[in-house]
Amino acid sequence: MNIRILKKDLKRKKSINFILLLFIFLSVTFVAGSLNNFSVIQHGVDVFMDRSHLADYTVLTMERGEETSGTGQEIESFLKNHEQVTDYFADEVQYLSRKQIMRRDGSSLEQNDTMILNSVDIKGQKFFHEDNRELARIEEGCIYVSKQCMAKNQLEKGEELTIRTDNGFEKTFKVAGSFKDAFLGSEMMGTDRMLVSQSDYENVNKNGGLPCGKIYSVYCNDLEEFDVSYNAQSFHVIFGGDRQLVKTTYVMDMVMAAVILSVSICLIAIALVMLKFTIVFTVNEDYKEIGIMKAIGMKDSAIRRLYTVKYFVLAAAGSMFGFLASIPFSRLLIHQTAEKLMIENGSTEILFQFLVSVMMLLLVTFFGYYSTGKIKKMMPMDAIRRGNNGERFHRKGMFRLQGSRRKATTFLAWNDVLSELRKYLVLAITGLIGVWLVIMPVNTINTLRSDGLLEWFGTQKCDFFVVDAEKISELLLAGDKQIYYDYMEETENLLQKEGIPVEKVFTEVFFRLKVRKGDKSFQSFSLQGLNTQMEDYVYEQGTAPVHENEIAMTHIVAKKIGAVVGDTVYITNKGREEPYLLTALYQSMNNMGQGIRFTEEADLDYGVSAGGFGIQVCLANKSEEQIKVIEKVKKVFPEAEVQNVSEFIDHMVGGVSQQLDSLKLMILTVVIMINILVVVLMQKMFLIREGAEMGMLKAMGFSDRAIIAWQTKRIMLVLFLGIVAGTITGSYFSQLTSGKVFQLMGAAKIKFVVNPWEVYVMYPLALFVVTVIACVITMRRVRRISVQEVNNLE
Amino acid sequence: MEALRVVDLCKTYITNKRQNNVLKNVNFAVEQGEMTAVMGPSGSGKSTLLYSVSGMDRPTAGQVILGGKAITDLREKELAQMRLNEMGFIFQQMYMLKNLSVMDNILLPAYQSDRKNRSRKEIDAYAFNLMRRLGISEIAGNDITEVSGGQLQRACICRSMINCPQILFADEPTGALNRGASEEVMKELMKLNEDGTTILLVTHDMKVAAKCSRILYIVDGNIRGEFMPGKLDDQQAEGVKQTKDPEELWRERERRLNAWLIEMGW
Repeated sequence: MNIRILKKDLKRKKSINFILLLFIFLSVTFVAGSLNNFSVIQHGVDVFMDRSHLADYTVLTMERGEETSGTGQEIESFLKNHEQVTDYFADEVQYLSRKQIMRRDGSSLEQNDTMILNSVDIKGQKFFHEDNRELARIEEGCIYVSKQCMAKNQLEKGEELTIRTDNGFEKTFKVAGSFKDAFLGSEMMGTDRMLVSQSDYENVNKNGGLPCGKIYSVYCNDLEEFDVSYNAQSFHVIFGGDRQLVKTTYVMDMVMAAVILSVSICLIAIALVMLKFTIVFTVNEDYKEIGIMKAIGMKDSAIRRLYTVKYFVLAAAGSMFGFLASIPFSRLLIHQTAEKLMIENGSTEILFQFLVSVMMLLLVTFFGYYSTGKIKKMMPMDAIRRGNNGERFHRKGMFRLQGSRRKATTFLAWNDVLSELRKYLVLAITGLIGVWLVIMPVNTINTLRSDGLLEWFGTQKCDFFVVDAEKISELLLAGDKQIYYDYMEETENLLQKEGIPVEKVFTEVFFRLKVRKGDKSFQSFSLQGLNTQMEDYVYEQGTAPVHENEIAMTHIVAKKIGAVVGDTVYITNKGREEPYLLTALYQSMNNMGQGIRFTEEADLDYGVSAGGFGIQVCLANKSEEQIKVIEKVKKVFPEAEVQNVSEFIDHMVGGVSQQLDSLKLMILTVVIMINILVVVLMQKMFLIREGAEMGMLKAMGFSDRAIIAWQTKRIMLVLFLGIVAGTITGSYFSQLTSGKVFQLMGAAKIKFVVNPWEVYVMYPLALFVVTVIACVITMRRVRRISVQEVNNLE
Repeated sequence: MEALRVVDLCKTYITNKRQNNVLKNVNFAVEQGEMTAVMGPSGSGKSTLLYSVSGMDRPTAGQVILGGKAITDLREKELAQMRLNEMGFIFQQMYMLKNLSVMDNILLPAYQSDRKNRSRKEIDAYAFNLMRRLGISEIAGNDITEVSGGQLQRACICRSMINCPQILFADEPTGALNRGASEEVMKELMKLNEDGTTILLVTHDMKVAAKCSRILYIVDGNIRGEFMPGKLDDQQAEGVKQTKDPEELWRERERRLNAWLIEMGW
């Protein structure tokens, strides 16, 4: 009997049951897909590192000249004798310059400043194919390059790359594919790795005469203790840090992940609110029948069981389809992040999605059961009157039409919304969240592309950068401060000669130096600006260093050694510990917030310099179009990469703004689709529920257009409120999400660049207009509502 | 002068591939200021006739001319305009919009109307006058849950009259009311009719129909006959002359109507 009632119900109330089924399906798709993303992305980097067998601590060295010749032995001796070190591997690497690796047509690859060549057989780390299979063997004559290098240079599998060294050695490799690299996979590491077979590596090593170095993969018992003692040493290394530090280099990939997570969380919120709304609506629709069943003597428990079975059947069907749809949906969302990290939708993830779907099934069933709970308290007639207290109508309106100057349809819309706010909450929340989701990547992209961000990378504003990787390597190897000045002068002269008026040419030189205060020490990334004024940098606290024994440092380094402005700290330079007065603190997103800034007068050891940003140029005449100037400069320095500030920042943060740009489009599409979906489904429900009222208005002489206007104005009003609330709070939401990522990188205070046109007008308006159009199109169904519908009015 | 003319009106429904001819070539006219009732057994097509004549539903064939305009030729938008400004409609159930007070429900069609001959203040005053005439001015600000069925139906009458329509259609206007309320409502409708409003109503209730100037009897979608309870032969006229009690006069009309209905097969 129950099954017959159920069958009839499902058939007879096709529209409302279909809408409920659709909402369950969407909710399960969003929740299962999004929760899976949440879990996968959260652990993505850790899984990647675990599967790569990345050591607890990794040190990368480069042997060049006298200053660094003994570093290898010193480190090996330190590691051998350290009581916390359980094991370590020392794998050889060779350093290549940009000019030393070229394509068949002789052109160089566009790549990071530092490039290393490794054998695939190194002991300290494992590598993976794009599809996450382990890359265990490479054929002789083949080479694997990083995913970024493949993309940047549009390299194809099978293409030839030739290594040609200064001593005339030449070896051609065939590109066999790209690989995933846990240690150097992030662009923020600034180093690209290429992998060849062991025999090829040995061949290049024996005959190529390339600079060598080592990667030490260190495994320890007590990492903290090891870190303290390692930082107390003064090894000249390219990089030294623990897994946590390597993990933070993926912070920009985590910006993408954070965006996806935020989208996922918002989708879950929308899904749950939608679900509650639909179930309550459906149960209300069922009250009349519940009342009749009570009237003929059916027990409450039997009635509840009957309806619970109905919700279970709908929830089971919705959950099953939702589960199936959540797999491609989840993949679509994490696709971009998955390219670099080891994020996969394996059987565990699918099982997870399945479990979430089952949970959703139980949740819907329970919620359906809970919502029918009112049955117990109701008399049959109360139920027949749709759960109200014996009256057909409820809630008095908030406003009076009498004396109002508004149009009747506008009045009705306002009155409906303000009298029954809860009913429209789901749409307002959808509008609000939708705007948040769109504003967040927009603000992040605008901030990442703003010139002001340059100051957060620990340097001064300029108009463009001239980055000649070859020249930087040359300067690095020369190890002489004066050569930097000569190079800057040479650059300035060349530009002036070409009619490009230059106001200032300056550069930043990097070091990695040990700083100590009391018993706390740290190997910190340090900088010295040449041709710069110390007061032109931005400081958070204190005053700019003036004398050669004065420094500024980032709040992160200061915190690590427990220093405050006014303290004397000790820095190991040229083998001696020298005292420096800390006069200011600043924030920087360079090297995960590390930084010590020296005055130009400080006599630092250029033999251990670790690189630089390249040459920075400020133009004297800013009226000329920058694009044209940069084009001219490119002709002056054909070998160099000439970047404007936003290009430079994008390069620094691993091209994340481009990724965000494409993600922004995807989010905008998803948000618009969700808005349309919610508004269409809500309107369809209103058409069912308010069909009789519409019939009555028609009978009174309201035209179809007027009824559509009433319904649309209602949606417009709710949507407007939601979107305005979203727009006002959107920037705060950006702070909460991507702001945290900027903080992770070392920015103490983040001020988002808000483009008012985009954030306050364009996107909210686009969202509003598209949703309203969808509403108007849905409401065209009003034409099919006849006056006789009025007889269904309760 | 004719307020309404119905010519060869047909309405056919197709249900389960079966043709159901609800109205079959119906012809009749209603004079200006007349109060006409349509009676007939259940399923005879009374309500369908009312909906088709009032432009609430499209007839399958035939013509309806209202105030000189063939409403069957009007587009939906023009029809809505006509319903708003030139017709009033009263339903059996006291349908009103929730969230609005009684007064606001009455005002709604007037505020929606694009007639520019009245200011909103004048509309408010007119609505209040209507309510006072129908004896419900004291419930103007009340929520629709706070008033009785009779009061609510009178409010519905006020709403139907707010745009001063040429004709008022009513579908069982007293069908959901008790005897007392029903009489009150009919009294008001008669008052409106005395003031010149043409009324066409559908009813089962002999007491209601007896108060109309003409009764059309419909069976199986055809008008079978018409009766004027006020039209008397000489003998009847003599009897009425001698009757002093007005209630007795109405009862006499009801008796005559009853006799006619029995004759028609009621």
